[in-house]
Amino acid sequence: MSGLVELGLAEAAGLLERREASAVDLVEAQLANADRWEPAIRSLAHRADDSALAAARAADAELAAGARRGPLHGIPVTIKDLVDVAGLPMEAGSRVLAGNVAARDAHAVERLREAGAIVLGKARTHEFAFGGFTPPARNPWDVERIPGGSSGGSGAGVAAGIGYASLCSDTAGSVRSPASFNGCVGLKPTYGRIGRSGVVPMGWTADTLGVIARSALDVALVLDAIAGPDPRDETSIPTPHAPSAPSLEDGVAGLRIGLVESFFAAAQADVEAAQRRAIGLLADAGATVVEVELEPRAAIDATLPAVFQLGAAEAAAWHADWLDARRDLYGEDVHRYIDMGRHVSAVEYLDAQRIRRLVSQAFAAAFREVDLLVTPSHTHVAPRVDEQMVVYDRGEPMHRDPAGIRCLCHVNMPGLPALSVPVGLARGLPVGLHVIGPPLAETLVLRAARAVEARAGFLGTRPTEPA
Amino acid sequence: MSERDDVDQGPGPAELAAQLAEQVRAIFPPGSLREVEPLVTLDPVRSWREAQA
Repeated sequence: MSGLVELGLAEAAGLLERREASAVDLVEAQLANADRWEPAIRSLAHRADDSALAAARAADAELAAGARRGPLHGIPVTIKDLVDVAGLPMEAGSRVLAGNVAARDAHAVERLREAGAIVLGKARTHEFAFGGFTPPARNPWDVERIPGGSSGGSGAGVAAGIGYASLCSDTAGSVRSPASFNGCVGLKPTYGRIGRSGVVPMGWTADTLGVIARSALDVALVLDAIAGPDPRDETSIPTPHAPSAPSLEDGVAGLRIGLVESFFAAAQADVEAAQRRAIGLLADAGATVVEVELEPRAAIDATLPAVFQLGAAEAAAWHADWLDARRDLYGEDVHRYIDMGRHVSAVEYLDAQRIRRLVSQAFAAAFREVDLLVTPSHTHVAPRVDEQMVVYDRGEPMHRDPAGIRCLCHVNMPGLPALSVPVGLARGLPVGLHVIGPPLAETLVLRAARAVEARAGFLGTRPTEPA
Repeated sequence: MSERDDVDQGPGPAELAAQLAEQVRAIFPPGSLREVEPLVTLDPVRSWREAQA
Protein backbone atom coordinates (compact mmCIF):
# COMPACT_ATOMS: atom_id res chain seq x y z
CA MET A 1 0.00 0.00 0.00
CA SER A 2 1.14 3.52 -0.52
CA GLY A 3 1.20 5.64 2.62
CA LEU A 4 -2.13 7.35 2.02
CA VAL A 5 -4.15 4.15 1.81
CA GLU A 6 -2.64 2.81 5.02
CA LEU A 7 -4.28 5.64 6.94
CA GLY A 8 -7.64 5.52 8.60
CA LEU A 9 -10.42 7.89 7.60
CA ALA A 10 -9.81 10.29 10.48
CA GLU A 11 -6.09 10.47 9.74
CA ALA A 12 -6.74 11.13 6.05
CA ALA A 13 -9.25 13.82 7.02
CA GLY A 14 -6.55 15.44 9.15
CA LEU A 15 -4.18 15.56 6.19
CA LEU A 16 -6.84 17.23 4.08
CA GLU A 17 -7.70 19.73 6.77
CA ARG A 18 -4.06 20.72 7.15
CA ARG A 19 -3.69 20.80 3.34
CA GLU A 20 -0.89 18.21 3.54
CA ALA A 21 -2.69 16.11 0.93
CA SER A 22 -5.49 16.81 -1.51
CA ALA A 23 -8.67 14.92 -2.24
CA VAL A 24 -7.22 14.13 -5.67
CA ASP A 25 -4.17 12.62 -3.93
CA LEU A 26 -6.44 10.39 -1.85
CA VAL A 27 -8.58 9.26 -4.76
CA GLU A 28 -5.58 8.59 -6.99
CA ALA A 29 -3.90 6.58 -4.23
CA GLN A 30 -7.07 4.56 -3.63
CA LEU A 31 -7.56 3.86 -7.33
CA ALA A 32 -3.92 2.77 -7.72
CA ASN A 33 -4.38 0.55 -4.68
CA ALA A 34 -7.51 -0.93 -6.24
CA ASP A 35 -5.49 -1.69 -9.38
CA ARG A 36 -3.10 -3.74 -7.27
CA TRP A 37 -5.66 -5.55 -5.10
CA GLU A 38 -8.70 -6.06 -7.28
CA PRO A 39 -7.39 -8.90 -9.45
CA ALA A 40 -7.03 -10.91 -6.23
CA ILE A 41 -10.02 -9.84 -4.13
CA ARG A 42 -12.59 -8.48 -6.63
CA SER A 43 -14.28 -6.35 -3.99
CA LEU A 44 -15.73 -3.82 -6.42
CA ALA A 45 -18.76 -4.48 -8.58
CA HIS A 46 -18.35 -1.17 -10.40
CA ARG A 47 -15.57 1.41 -10.37
CA ALA A 48 -16.28 5.13 -10.70
CA ASP A 49 -12.80 6.41 -11.44
CA ASP A 50 -13.77 9.37 -13.60
CA SER A 51 -16.60 10.69 -11.45
CA ALA A 52 -14.52 10.14 -8.30
CA LEU A 53 -11.65 12.21 -9.70
CA ALA A 54 -14.05 14.93 -10.82
CA ALA A 55 -15.62 15.02 -7.35
CA ALA A 56 -12.15 15.15 -5.80
CA ARG A 57 -11.22 18.18 -7.90
CA ALA A 58 -14.43 19.89 -6.82
CA ALA A 59 -13.74 19.02 -3.18
CA ASP A 60 -10.25 20.48 -3.45
CA ALA A 61 -11.63 23.66 -4.96
CA GLU A 62 -13.98 24.05 -1.98
CA LEU A 63 -11.12 23.43 0.44
CA ALA A 64 -9.01 26.03 -1.35
CA ALA A 65 -11.89 28.48 -0.90
CA GLY A 66 -11.99 27.71 2.82
CA ALA A 67 -15.30 25.83 2.64
CA ARG A 68 -14.57 22.56 4.41
CA ARG A 69 -17.78 20.63 4.99
CA GLY A 70 -16.47 18.44 7.80
CA PRO A 71 -14.36 15.35 8.40
CA LEU A 72 -15.71 13.50 5.36
CA HIS A 73 -14.82 16.32 2.96
CA GLY A 74 -12.73 14.78 0.17
CA ILE A 75 -12.80 11.24 1.64
CA PRO A 76 -13.26 8.36 -0.84
CA VAL A 77 -15.78 5.71 0.21
CA THR A 78 -17.50 2.75 -1.40
CA ILE A 79 -21.22 1.99 -1.51
CA LYS A 80 -22.64 -1.53 -1.42
CA ASP A 81 -24.20 -2.45 -4.73
CA LEU A 82 -27.60 -2.63 -3.11
CA VAL A 83 -27.78 1.13 -2.67
CA ASP A 84 -28.62 3.72 -5.35
CA VAL A 85 -25.89 6.10 -6.45
CA ALA A 86 -27.14 8.39 -9.22
CA GLY A 87 -25.56 7.59 -12.55
CA LEU A 88 -23.89 4.37 -11.41
CA PRO A 89 -25.05 0.78 -11.98
CA MET A 90 -27.24 -0.70 -9.23
CA GLU A 91 -27.40 -4.39 -10.01
CA ALA A 92 -27.58 -5.88 -6.49
CA GLY A 93 -25.01 -8.42 -7.58
CA SER A 94 -27.57 -10.06 -9.85
CA ARG A 95 -28.10 -10.66 -13.55
CA VAL A 96 -31.77 -9.95 -12.77
CA LEU A 97 -30.88 -6.26 -12.61
CA ALA A 98 -28.07 -6.27 -15.17
CA GLY A 99 -27.76 -2.86 -16.80
CA ASN A 100 -29.88 -1.06 -14.21
CA VAL A 101 -28.53 2.43 -13.53
CA ALA A 102 -29.74 4.44 -10.53
CA ALA A 103 -31.58 7.65 -11.37
CA ARG A 104 -31.05 9.32 -8.01
CA ASP A 105 -29.04 8.91 -4.85
CA ALA A 106 -30.31 6.92 -1.89
CA HIS A 107 -30.95 9.10 1.14
CA ALA A 108 -27.78 7.93 2.89
CA VAL A 109 -25.71 8.63 -0.22
CA GLU A 110 -27.20 12.13 -0.38
CA ARG A 111 -26.07 12.64 3.19
CA LEU A 112 -22.58 11.35 2.39
CA ARG A 113 -22.25 13.69 -0.57
CA GLU A 114 -23.54 16.64 1.45
CA ALA A 115 -20.78 15.86 3.95
CA GLY A 116 -18.23 15.96 1.13
CA ALA A 117 -17.52 12.24 0.74
CA ILE A 118 -16.54 10.92 -2.69
CA VAL A 119 -18.00 7.72 -4.16
CA LEU A 120 -15.10 5.57 -5.35
CA GLY A 121 -17.26 2.72 -6.60
CA LYS A 122 -19.88 0.10 -5.78
CA ALA A 123 -18.81 -2.63 -3.40
CA ARG A 124 -19.77 -6.17 -4.29
CA THR A 125 -22.73 -7.74 -2.49
CA HIS A 126 -23.84 -11.33 -2.31
CA GLU A 127 -26.69 -11.45 -4.81
CA PHE A 128 -29.64 -9.44 -3.42
CA ALA A 129 -27.84 -9.56 -0.04
CA PHE A 130 -28.99 -13.14 0.39
CA GLY A 131 -25.85 -15.04 1.30
CA GLY A 132 -22.73 -15.11 3.37
CA PHE A 133 -19.75 -15.32 1.03
CA THR A 134 -20.16 -12.75 -1.79
CA PRO A 135 -18.64 -14.49 -4.79
CA PRO A 136 -16.34 -13.75 -6.54
CA ALA A 137 -14.93 -11.45 -3.83
CA ARG A 138 -12.16 -12.90 -1.69
CA ASN A 139 -10.67 -12.18 1.72
CA PRO A 140 -7.50 -10.03 1.53
CA TRP A 141 -6.02 -11.83 4.55
CA ASP A 142 -6.08 -15.07 2.56
CA VAL A 143 -7.50 -14.97 -0.94
CA GLU A 144 -8.43 -18.64 -0.71
CA ARG A 145 -10.99 -17.68 1.94
CA ILE A 146 -14.37 -15.98 1.80
CA PRO A 147 -14.79 -12.35 2.86
CA GLY A 148 -18.17 -13.07 4.47
CA GLY A 149 -21.38 -11.45 3.40
CA SER A 150 -23.56 -10.18 2.26
CA SER A 151 -21.41 -7.01 2.38
CA GLY A 152 -18.30 -9.01 1.50
CA GLY A 153 -17.04 -6.47 -1.02
CA SER A 154 -17.31 -3.71 1.57
CA GLY A 155 -15.33 -5.64 4.19
CA ALA A 156 -12.66 -6.93 1.82
CA GLY A 157 -12.23 -3.57 0.14
CA VAL A 158 -11.94 -1.51 3.31
CA ALA A 159 -9.46 -4.00 4.77
CA ALA A 160 -7.35 -3.75 1.61
CA GLY A 161 -7.49 0.05 1.56
CA ILE A 162 -10.11 0.53 -1.16
CA GLY A 163 -12.29 3.25 0.34
CA TYR A 164 -11.78 4.59 3.85
CA ALA A 165 -15.27 3.36 4.72
CA SER A 166 -18.16 1.57 3.07
CA LEU A 167 -21.91 2.09 3.34
CA CYS A 168 -23.57 -1.31 3.51
CA SER A 169 -26.59 -3.16 4.90
CA ASP A 170 -27.39 -5.72 7.59
CA THR A 171 -30.53 -7.87 7.89
CA ALA A 172 -29.11 -10.76 9.91
CA GLY A 173 -25.41 -9.93 10.24
CA SER A 174 -24.39 -8.69 6.79
CA VAL A 175 -22.35 -5.72 8.05
CA ARG A 176 -20.83 -7.40 11.09
CA SER A 177 -19.92 -10.74 9.53
CA PRO A 178 -17.63 -9.32 6.81
CA ALA A 179 -16.27 -6.78 9.29
CA SER A 180 -15.27 -9.67 11.55
CA PHE A 181 -13.75 -11.84 8.80
CA ASN A 182 -11.79 -8.93 7.30
CA GLY A 183 -10.50 -7.23 10.46
CA CYS A 184 -12.68 -4.10 10.28
CA VAL A 185 -15.13 -2.36 12.58
CA GLY A 186 -18.67 -2.86 11.31
CA LEU A 187 -21.68 -1.14 12.90
CA LYS A 188 -25.33 -2.01 12.44
CA PRO A 189 -27.14 0.85 14.15
CA THR A 190 -30.65 0.79 15.58
CA TYR A 191 -33.30 -0.18 13.02
CA GLY A 192 -34.45 3.07 11.44
CA ARG A 193 -31.45 5.13 12.53
CA ILE A 194 -30.19 5.51 8.92
CA GLY A 195 -32.79 6.12 6.22
CA ARG A 196 -33.26 3.27 3.77
CA SER A 197 -34.90 4.98 0.80
CA GLY A 198 -33.03 4.05 -2.36
CA VAL A 199 -31.95 0.67 -1.03
CA VAL A 200 -33.11 -2.70 -2.41
CA PRO A 201 -34.91 -4.46 0.45
CA MET A 202 -34.08 -7.94 1.57
CA GLY A 203 -36.14 -8.54 4.72
CA TRP A 204 -37.67 -5.13 5.31
CA THR A 205 -38.70 -5.70 8.89
CA ALA A 206 -35.02 -6.03 9.79
CA ASP A 207 -33.05 -4.28 7.00
CA THR A 208 -30.67 -1.67 8.41
CA LEU A 209 -27.96 0.37 6.73
CA GLY A 210 -24.58 0.31 8.44
CA VAL A 211 -20.94 1.23 8.08
CA ILE A 212 -17.68 -0.69 7.77
CA ALA A 213 -14.42 1.17 8.38
CA ARG A 214 -11.05 0.51 9.97
CA SER A 215 -11.65 1.98 13.42
CA ALA A 216 -14.45 2.89 15.78
CA LEU A 217 -13.73 6.58 15.21
CA ASP A 218 -13.92 6.18 11.43
CA VAL A 219 -17.28 4.42 11.74
CA ALA A 220 -18.55 7.13 14.11
CA LEU A 221 -17.60 9.91 11.71
CA VAL A 222 -19.60 8.28 8.90
CA LEU A 223 -22.54 7.46 11.16
CA ASP A 224 -22.69 11.06 12.37
CA ALA A 225 -22.93 12.24 8.76
CA ILE A 226 -25.72 9.93 7.61
CA ALA A 227 -27.88 9.06 10.64
CA GLY A 228 -31.18 10.85 11.13
CA PRO A 229 -34.68 11.11 9.75
CA ASP A 230 -35.35 10.16 6.13
CA PRO A 231 -38.56 11.71 4.79
CA ARG A 232 -38.82 8.96 2.16
CA ASP A 233 -38.57 6.10 4.68
CA GLU A 234 -41.57 5.59 6.99
CA THR A 235 -39.51 3.36 9.27
CA SER A 236 -36.81 5.94 9.90
CA ILE A 237 -36.57 7.24 13.46
CA PRO A 238 -37.87 10.83 13.49
CA THR A 239 -35.55 12.16 16.18
CA PRO A 240 -32.13 13.57 15.22
CA HIS A 241 -28.96 11.57 15.87
CA ALA A 242 -26.70 12.93 18.60
CA PRO A 243 -23.12 12.72 17.25
CA SER A 244 -21.10 9.77 18.49
CA ALA A 245 -17.55 10.81 17.57
CA PRO A 246 -17.09 13.48 20.29
CA SER A 247 -17.73 10.92 23.05
CA LEU A 248 -15.64 8.06 21.74
CA GLU A 249 -12.82 8.43 24.26
CA ASP A 250 -15.20 8.40 27.24
CA GLY A 251 -14.30 4.77 27.87
CA VAL A 252 -16.16 2.03 29.69
CA ALA A 253 -15.14 2.65 33.30
CA GLY A 254 -18.12 2.08 35.56
CA LEU A 255 -20.18 0.27 32.93
CA ARG A 256 -21.64 -3.19 33.51
CA ILE A 257 -21.04 -5.43 30.53
CA GLY A 258 -22.80 -8.77 30.20
CA LEU A 259 -21.03 -11.71 28.57
CA VAL A 260 -23.51 -14.08 26.94
CA GLU A 261 -21.56 -17.24 27.71
CA SER A 262 -23.85 -19.60 25.77
CA PHE A 263 -22.71 -18.12 22.44
CA PHE A 264 -19.38 -19.90 22.97
CA ALA A 265 -21.13 -23.31 22.98
CA ALA A 266 -19.50 -24.12 19.63
CA ALA A 267 -16.06 -22.61 19.05
CA GLN A 268 -12.61 -22.91 17.55
CA ALA A 269 -10.25 -22.66 20.50
CA ASP A 270 -7.87 -19.98 19.18
CA VAL A 271 -10.75 -17.74 18.11
CA GLU A 272 -12.38 -18.07 21.51
CA ALA A 273 -9.07 -17.34 23.27
CA ALA A 274 -8.61 -14.07 21.36
CA GLN A 275 -12.16 -13.01 22.21
CA ARG A 276 -11.82 -13.83 25.89
CA ARG A 277 -8.59 -11.80 26.01
CA ALA A 278 -10.50 -8.86 24.55
CA ILE A 279 -13.28 -9.22 27.11
CA GLY A 280 -10.55 -9.06 29.73
CA LEU A 281 -9.41 -5.77 28.20
CA LEU A 282 -12.85 -4.30 28.86
CA ALA A 283 -12.40 -5.22 32.51
CA ASP A 284 -8.90 -3.70 32.45
CA ALA A 285 -10.51 -0.50 31.16
CA GLY A 286 -12.73 -0.32 34.23
CA ALA A 287 -15.89 -2.13 33.19
CA THR A 288 -17.49 -4.78 35.35
CA VAL A 289 -17.97 -7.89 33.23
CA VAL A 290 -20.65 -10.30 34.40
CA GLU A 291 -22.10 -13.45 32.88
CA VAL A 292 -25.68 -13.13 31.68
CA GLU A 293 -28.08 -15.37 29.85
CA LEU A 294 -30.79 -14.31 27.45
CA GLU A 295 -34.10 -15.79 28.58
CA PRO A 296 -36.20 -17.54 27.50
CA ARG A 297 -33.37 -19.56 26.02
CA ALA A 298 -35.86 -21.31 23.73
CA ALA A 299 -36.49 -18.05 21.87
CA ILE A 300 -32.76 -17.50 21.43
CA ASP A 301 -32.36 -21.06 20.13
CA ALA A 302 -35.28 -20.59 17.70
CA THR A 303 -33.97 -17.28 16.35
CA LEU A 304 -31.78 -18.69 13.60
CA PRO A 305 -34.55 -20.63 11.79
CA ALA A 306 -37.03 -17.81 12.51
CA VAL A 307 -34.71 -15.24 10.94
CA PHE A 308 -34.47 -17.37 7.79
CA GLN A 309 -38.28 -17.72 7.70
CA LEU A 310 -38.84 -13.97 8.05
CA GLY A 311 -36.12 -12.97 5.60
CA ALA A 312 -37.10 -15.51 2.98
CA ALA A 313 -40.83 -14.76 3.18
CA GLU A 314 -40.29 -11.02 2.93
CA ALA A 315 -37.77 -11.40 0.11
CA ALA A 316 -40.11 -13.74 -1.76
CA ALA A 317 -42.87 -11.13 -1.54
CA TRP A 318 -40.56 -8.46 -2.95
CA HIS A 319 -39.21 -10.73 -5.71
CA ALA A 320 -42.63 -12.21 -6.49
CA ASP A 321 -42.84 -11.25 -10.15
CA TRP A 322 -39.27 -12.25 -10.93
CA LEU A 323 -38.86 -15.62 -9.22
CA ASP A 324 -40.44 -17.51 -12.10
CA ALA A 325 -40.15 -15.04 -14.97
CA ARG A 326 -36.45 -14.47 -14.41
CA ARG A 327 -35.67 -17.81 -12.85
CA ASP A 328 -32.54 -18.44 -14.89
CA LEU A 329 -31.00 -15.09 -14.03
CA TYR A 330 -30.68 -15.81 -10.31
CA GLY A 331 -27.78 -17.69 -8.80
CA GLU A 332 -28.88 -21.17 -7.81
CA ASP A 333 -28.27 -20.65 -4.09
CA VAL A 334 -30.05 -17.29 -3.95
CA HIS A 335 -33.09 -18.45 -5.91
CA ARG A 336 -33.38 -21.46 -3.63
CA TYR A 337 -33.30 -19.32 -0.48
CA ILE A 338 -35.75 -16.70 -1.77
CA ASP A 339 -38.07 -19.28 -3.33
CA MET A 340 -38.09 -20.98 0.06
CA GLY A 341 -40.04 -17.95 1.27
CA ARG A 342 -42.99 -19.02 -0.87
CA HIS A 343 -43.12 -22.22 1.17
CA VAL A 344 -43.22 -20.47 4.56
CA SER A 345 -46.85 -20.49 5.68
CA ALA A 346 -48.58 -17.43 7.10
CA VAL A 347 -48.83 -19.26 10.42
CA GLU A 348 -45.09 -19.96 10.42
CA TYR A 349 -44.36 -16.35 9.52
CA LEU A 350 -46.51 -15.08 12.38
CA ASP A 351 -44.97 -17.54 14.81
CA ALA A 352 -41.57 -16.18 13.79
CA GLN A 353 -42.86 -12.71 14.67
CA ARG A 354 -43.97 -14.07 18.04
CA ILE A 355 -40.44 -15.37 18.54
CA ARG A 356 -39.23 -11.87 17.64
CA ARG A 357 -41.37 -10.54 20.52
CA LEU A 358 -39.79 -13.01 22.94
CA VAL A 359 -36.27 -12.15 21.75
CA SER A 360 -37.00 -8.45 22.23
CA GLN A 361 -38.18 -9.16 25.77
CA ALA A 362 -35.08 -11.27 26.44
CA PHE A 363 -32.77 -8.42 25.50
CA ALA A 364 -34.87 -5.91 27.45
CA ALA A 365 -34.56 -8.06 30.55
CA ALA A 366 -30.78 -8.35 30.13
CA PHE A 367 -30.41 -4.60 29.72
CA ARG A 368 -32.12 -4.04 33.07
CA GLU A 369 -28.98 -5.62 34.57
CA VAL A 370 -26.19 -4.40 32.27
CA ASP A 371 -25.31 -1.47 30.00
CA LEU A 372 -23.91 -3.52 27.12
CA LEU A 373 -23.69 -7.15 26.03
CA VAL A 374 -20.76 -8.91 24.39
CA THR A 375 -20.68 -12.14 22.41
CA PRO A 376 -18.29 -13.51 19.81
CA SER A 377 -18.90 -12.20 16.29
CA HIS A 378 -18.02 -15.63 14.95
CA THR A 379 -16.49 -18.54 16.79
CA HIS A 380 -14.58 -19.59 13.67
CA VAL A 381 -12.19 -17.96 11.22
CA ALA A 382 -13.25 -17.15 7.66
CA PRO A 383 -13.85 -20.47 5.85
CA ARG A 384 -12.00 -21.44 2.71
CA VAL A 385 -13.98 -20.88 -0.48
CA ASP A 386 -14.41 -24.63 -0.95
CA GLU A 387 -15.32 -25.25 2.70
CA GLN A 388 -19.10 -25.70 3.01
CA MET A 389 -19.08 -26.84 6.64
CA VAL A 390 -17.51 -25.08 9.61
CA VAL A 391 -15.79 -27.46 12.00
CA TYR A 392 -15.36 -26.38 15.61
CA ASP A 393 -13.02 -27.67 18.30
CA ARG A 394 -16.10 -27.84 20.54
CA GLY A 395 -19.63 -28.30 19.21
CA GLU A 396 -21.27 -29.81 16.14
CA PRO A 397 -20.21 -28.80 12.59
CA MET A 398 -22.51 -26.28 10.91
CA HIS A 399 -23.02 -25.12 7.32
CA ARG A 400 -21.12 -21.88 6.74
CA ASP A 401 -24.26 -19.82 5.95
CA PRO A 402 -25.97 -20.24 9.35
CA ALA A 403 -22.56 -20.38 11.07
CA GLY A 404 -21.78 -16.95 9.65
CA ILE A 405 -24.75 -15.33 11.41
CA ARG A 406 -25.24 -17.70 14.36
CA CYS A 407 -23.98 -15.14 16.89
CA LEU A 408 -25.13 -12.02 15.03
CA CYS A 409 -28.75 -12.47 13.92
CA HIS A 410 -30.52 -12.15 17.27
CA VAL A 411 -30.09 -8.38 17.49
CA ASN A 412 -31.87 -7.89 14.17
CA MET A 413 -35.07 -9.25 15.69
CA PRO A 414 -35.54 -6.28 18.07
CA GLY A 415 -33.47 -3.93 15.86
CA LEU A 416 -30.71 -3.25 18.37
CA PRO A 417 -27.42 -1.46 17.60
CA ALA A 418 -24.41 -3.78 17.48
CA LEU A 419 -20.94 -3.89 16.02
CA SER A 420 -18.00 -6.16 15.43
CA VAL A 421 -14.57 -4.89 16.46
CA PRO A 422 -11.34 -6.72 15.56
CA VAL A 423 -9.43 -8.03 18.55
CA GLY A 424 -6.53 -9.97 17.02
CA LEU A 425 -5.59 -12.81 14.71
CA ALA A 426 -6.04 -16.58 14.85
CA ARG A 427 -3.99 -18.55 12.33
CA GLY A 428 -3.25 -15.21 10.64
CA LEU A 429 -6.96 -14.40 10.18
CA PRO A 430 -8.94 -11.64 11.93
CA VAL A 431 -11.16 -12.31 14.94
CA GLY A 432 -14.04 -10.04 15.96
CA LEU A 433 -15.87 -9.28 19.19
CA HIS A 434 -19.58 -8.45 19.05
CA VAL A 435 -20.83 -5.56 21.20
CA ILE A 436 -24.60 -4.99 21.58
CA GLY A 437 -26.47 -2.04 23.07
CA PRO A 438 -30.07 -1.03 23.78
CA PRO A 439 -31.96 1.05 21.18
CA LEU A 440 -30.17 4.26 20.12
CA ALA A 441 -27.03 3.39 22.12
CA GLU A 442 -24.73 3.62 19.10
CA THR A 443 -22.34 5.87 20.98
CA LEU A 444 -22.05 3.44 23.85
CA VAL A 445 -21.22 0.44 21.63
CA LEU A 446 -18.70 2.56 19.74
CA ARG A 447 -17.10 3.66 23.04
CA ALA A 448 -16.68 0.02 24.02
CA ALA A 449 -15.19 -0.77 20.61
CA ARG A 450 -12.78 2.13 21.01
CA ALA A 451 -11.77 0.89 24.47
CA VAL A 452 -11.03 -2.57 23.04
CA GLU A 453 -9.14 -1.39 19.98
CA ALA A 454 -7.03 1.01 22.07
CA ARG A 455 -5.78 -1.97 24.09
CA ALA A 456 -5.91 -4.96 21.73
CA GLY A 457 -2.94 -3.95 19.58
CA PHE A 458 -4.70 -4.79 16.30
CA LEU A 459 -5.43 -1.25 15.09
CA GLY A 460 -3.23 -0.52 12.07
CA THR A 461 -2.65 -4.20 11.28
CA ARG A 462 -3.14 -4.72 7.56
CA PRO A 463 -3.29 -7.68 5.20
CA THR A 464 -0.23 -8.22 3.00
CA GLU A 465 -0.60 -6.95 -0.53
CA PRO A 466 -0.58 -9.75 -3.12
CA ALA A 467 2.70 -10.24 -5.00
CA MET B 1 -23.35 -14.82 -11.91
CA SER B 2 -19.82 -15.91 -12.56
CA GLU B 3 -17.85 -18.21 -10.31
CA ARG B 4 -20.94 -19.72 -8.74
CA ASP B 5 -19.74 -23.28 -9.12
CA ASP B 6 -18.70 -23.21 -5.47
CA VAL B 7 -22.36 -23.36 -4.46
CA ASP B 8 -23.46 -26.71 -3.10
CA GLN B 9 -26.54 -28.45 -4.47
CA GLY B 10 -28.52 -28.70 -1.26
CA PRO B 11 -32.19 -29.41 -0.63
CA GLY B 12 -34.85 -27.63 -2.66
CA PRO B 13 -36.88 -24.63 -1.42
CA ALA B 14 -39.86 -26.62 -0.16
CA GLU B 15 -37.62 -29.02 1.73
CA LEU B 16 -35.63 -26.13 3.18
CA ALA B 17 -38.80 -24.43 4.38
CA ALA B 18 -40.00 -27.70 5.92
CA GLN B 19 -36.67 -28.11 7.71
CA LEU B 20 -36.93 -24.61 9.18
CA ALA B 21 -40.51 -25.18 10.29
CA GLU B 22 -39.48 -28.43 11.95
CA GLN B 23 -36.59 -26.73 13.75
CA VAL B 24 -38.98 -24.13 15.17
CA ARG B 25 -41.63 -26.72 16.07
CA ALA B 26 -39.01 -28.76 17.92
CA ILE B 27 -38.49 -25.77 20.21
CA PHE B 28 -42.01 -24.31 20.20
CA PRO B 29 -44.65 -27.02 19.57
CA PRO B 30 -47.79 -25.83 17.71
CA GLY B 31 -49.91 -23.63 19.95
CA SER B 32 -47.18 -22.94 22.48
CA LEU B 33 -46.75 -19.38 21.20
CA ARG B 34 -50.50 -18.63 21.27
CA GLU B 35 -50.27 -16.09 24.09
CA VAL B 36 -47.39 -14.13 22.54
CA GLU B 37 -48.31 -11.04 20.54
CA PRO B 38 -46.49 -11.02 17.16
CA LEU B 39 -44.01 -8.16 16.83
CA VAL B 40 -44.99 -7.35 13.26
CA THR B 41 -44.05 -3.69 12.90
CA LEU B 42 -40.61 -3.08 14.28
CA ASP B 43 -40.31 0.22 16.11
CA PRO B 44 -37.34 -0.50 18.34
CA VAL B 45 -37.92 2.37 20.71
CA ARG B 46 -41.63 1.71 21.20
CA SER B 47 -41.32 -2.06 21.41
CA TRP B 48 -38.46 -1.60 23.84
CA ARG B 49 -40.56 0.49 26.17
CA GLU B 50 -43.33 -2.08 25.96
CA ALA B 51 -40.90 -4.89 26.75
CA GLN B 52 -39.58 -3.01 29.77
CA ALA B 53 -43.04 -2.15 31.11
